[in-house]
Amino acid sequence: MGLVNVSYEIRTSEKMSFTMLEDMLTLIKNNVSGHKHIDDVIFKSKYILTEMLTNAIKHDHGSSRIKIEIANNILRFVKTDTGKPLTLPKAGDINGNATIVTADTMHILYTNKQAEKIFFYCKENVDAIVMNHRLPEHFGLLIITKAADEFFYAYNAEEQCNTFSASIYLSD
Amino acid sequence: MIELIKQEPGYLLADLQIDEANLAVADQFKTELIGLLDNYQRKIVLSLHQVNYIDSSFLGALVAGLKHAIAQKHDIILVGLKKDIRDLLTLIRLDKVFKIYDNYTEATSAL
Repeated sequence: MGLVNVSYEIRTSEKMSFTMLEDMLTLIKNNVSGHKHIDDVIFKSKYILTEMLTNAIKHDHGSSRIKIEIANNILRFVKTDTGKPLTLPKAGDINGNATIVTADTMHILYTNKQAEKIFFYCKENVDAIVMNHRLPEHFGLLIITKAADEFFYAYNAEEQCNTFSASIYLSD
Repeated sequence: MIELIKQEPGYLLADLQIDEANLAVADQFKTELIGLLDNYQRKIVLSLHQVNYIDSSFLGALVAGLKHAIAQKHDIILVGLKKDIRDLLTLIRLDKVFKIYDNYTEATSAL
């Protein structure tokens, strides 16, 4: 697998660029072609990148960058922007050290802060799904959390920079 | 965006005629879907066979439509999903929320 470090600029207030998405996926395909779970890697990459691109268009003020890195058997997507810092809802705590972001009939999405990084995790609810008006309608963070092997957010106050980093481990 | 293909006493067959189901069209889609539910008061079998790209904004609109249907005691059934879109629904467990079939024939046989 080749070493990759390619950065794309996404100008906000633009239509979603599926040409750019396809370019990104082609780059990944060309550099992880020998991976035995290539289809799974491309599937997860497609939806992590789709959500990062959607986030760039939906929330940012100014421009964003998405960097794709492949090194040390890790495929990493890093989105940076200078928009407002991420504000997460707090729906509760888990054992005092993790913060529940959302809890619904299907999932519990929660975070754990380590140093300056907020890591996202997800648990599936084992109970039967309740089909009612409380079904969730927000899936962006959930998709990245479930598609990635590691997903974190960090904010650099000095540079007013948001960083979202999602990694897929390629070692298997 | 949503073309009505067939109208039956218990259900509608509808076709989503877009390639890219994303933030840009999510609100319009939700309005059209809820409009169909309100106007026809029956289940909708919706084909997504033309959709190649989908994002969380559009999935949110789809679930909002389903919640509207549930409140009316109706349903939204999905058919014609491309493999990676079906896999995405499975990843976030929306395959447990929507009834999903390969095509209209399978879906209407199960109604």
